Amino acid sequence: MAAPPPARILPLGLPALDVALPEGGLALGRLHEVLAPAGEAGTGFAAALLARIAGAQGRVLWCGPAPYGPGLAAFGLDPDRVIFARTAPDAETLWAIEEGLRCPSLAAVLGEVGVLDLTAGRRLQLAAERWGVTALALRRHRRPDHRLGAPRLEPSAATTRWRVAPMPGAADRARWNVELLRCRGGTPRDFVLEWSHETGDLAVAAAVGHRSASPFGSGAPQADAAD
Amino acid sequence: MAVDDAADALGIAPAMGLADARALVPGLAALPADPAGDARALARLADWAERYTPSVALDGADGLFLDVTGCAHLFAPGIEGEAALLADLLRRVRRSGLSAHAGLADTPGAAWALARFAGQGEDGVIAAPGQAEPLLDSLPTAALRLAPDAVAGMARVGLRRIADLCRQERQSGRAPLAARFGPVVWRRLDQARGRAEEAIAPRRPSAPHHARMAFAEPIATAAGIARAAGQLIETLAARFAADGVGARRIAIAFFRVDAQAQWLEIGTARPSRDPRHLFRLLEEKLGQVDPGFGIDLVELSAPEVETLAAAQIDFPSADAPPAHNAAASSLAELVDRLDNRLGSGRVGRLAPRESHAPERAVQATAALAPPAGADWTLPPRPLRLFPRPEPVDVIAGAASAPSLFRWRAHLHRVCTAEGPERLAPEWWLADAPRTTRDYWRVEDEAGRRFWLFQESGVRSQKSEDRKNTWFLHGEFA
Repeated sequence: MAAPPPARILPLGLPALDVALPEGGLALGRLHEVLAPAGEAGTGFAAALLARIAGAQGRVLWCGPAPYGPGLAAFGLDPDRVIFARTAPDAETLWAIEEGLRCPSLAAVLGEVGVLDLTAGRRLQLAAERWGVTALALRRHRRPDHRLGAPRLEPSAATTRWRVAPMPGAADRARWNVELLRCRGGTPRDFVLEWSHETGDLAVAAAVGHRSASPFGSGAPQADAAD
Repeated sequence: MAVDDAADALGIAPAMGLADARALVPGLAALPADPAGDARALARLADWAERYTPSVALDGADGLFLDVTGCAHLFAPGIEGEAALLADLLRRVRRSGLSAHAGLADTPGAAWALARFAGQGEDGVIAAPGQAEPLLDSLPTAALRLAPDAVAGMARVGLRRIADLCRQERQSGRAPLAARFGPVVWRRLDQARGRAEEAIAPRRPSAPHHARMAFAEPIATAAGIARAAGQLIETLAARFAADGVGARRIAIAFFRVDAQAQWLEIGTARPSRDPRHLFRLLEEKLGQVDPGFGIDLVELSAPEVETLAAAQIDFPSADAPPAHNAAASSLAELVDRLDNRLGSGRVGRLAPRESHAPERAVQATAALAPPAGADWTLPPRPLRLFPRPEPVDVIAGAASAPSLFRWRAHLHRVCTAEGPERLAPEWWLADAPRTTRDYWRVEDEAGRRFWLFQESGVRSQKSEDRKNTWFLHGEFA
């Protein structure tokens, strides 16, 4: 197999996250995995990523149970630009994701799956590389009761793997604990993100687990990327 | 009661009682009648009969009308075509184990009469164009599709054959018989003689675009079926291009040697005449085809087409990497593939709808509908809304704000609660909630954010004793 074309990089506009990622942003046309062990924080994080990848014009495909339109719109992802495919079970969802990745008119495909083994992950990664469509595998915990265990951490073919869990927040903001568990060519780190419903803004409240993390707030230099 | 050929040969008639028949043939096998099963079998036969003509209609519980106008030349040129068609039909039906009679004439009425009253021969009866009347003359009046009591009544006054009716018409006009047995007698006679119009009602509307492929050696393999479908799609696509149309719906019929037919259908969100795309849609479903003992005819038709200018077709981009069986697809192709695999209603977009009830505030729209530019601004809404609100046990504190709730056997301690947001019932809508709801946004100690509501207002007598008025309706990110 020929080497995949170099990925286009999308800075997320969150300096602390961008410096943790190689080349200063999220690699487009790659597979990224978001684990959501409890609650909907992971769904929110994935929706925020989708909104950034889609930009002002792009269309996205969302496979699996559809989220609530008004709630989704608050993440800056215009439901007009989201095609939903209500798929279940995983096999059907994986099929739909792969079909979506073959359609270069899409900016990204999100699929909600319970398990993503190495083989299935590689298929999606190859399709994403080949057609330049970004794949997001949202591995939301199916049971609303989070005590029944988090998704198992099997080896992954994804370019990045995130785990996003809710945290007790501050007043009107939702607060998420975002762990970058795996990142090719980057360093795993933890962050605390805050999301405001009123403004739709996502901001880094704290970068933990890395001593020299850039100070929160805006204006952090992006030039010297990690590693 | 019905009898098969063997029973017929032993002298058993359909009008006989079972006891009489048993007396005649002691070892007689009798099965209860199954009208529903017969109807299904007739429908299957009608499906299969579409190999001869797209225009097939059911006739009562045991007959079919086929309008073979313009179809017989496929079997042999000229007048012999009809004989060849009829012989082919009878041979195939009989080979599948059914007994059948057939008549072919200028009118449905005459064909009916010939099939049921003269068509017992091996090859059926054919009335050459304009030659039906002499054949009809000798048939009993029952051949005119008249009710049994009318037939019996006419027999009592000496009118037994169709020729008798014609003589009666010449001698004393139509009025006497019409007064006694109704005008239907003469209408049926006119229909049989082609002096009154009669149209059969085909089971399927006929499609102007169709292509067929017959196999001398029946095909039974998946590869053979796929190849036939692929070639037919190429043929039809070329015809679409010539007519400047694209298909919205495509039906493919597989006619089996055992007088059965199978149908598959695909739909497209936008008209298409791209053979590669149409074949990929169809390919998904070809696995459902059961070739049985073999398929000897495949027919592809487009029941629904729309005009499609050449410019509307999006060609695969030139820089797409070639030589790989997985080709890039356009958005319309993607939607078609998802739609055909997942079934209708599972692929689409969301649009806001004017409603106070959160579950009614979203509606589905077509995946490729033009953007509505809708305004979604609302007070905070959860990212997931449960299909139906789930009852929870709540301990409420000051100002009835929830402070602790139990959901699915787990306790959630509420750290912050915002609300209430009151949503009034839309009593004028049939499917809207009937009660006023006070919604709260709460955050538990783990940071999960939920959308709870307390129900108040009108409740039916029956639920008066119900303690539970709190529900969990969704979860925020």
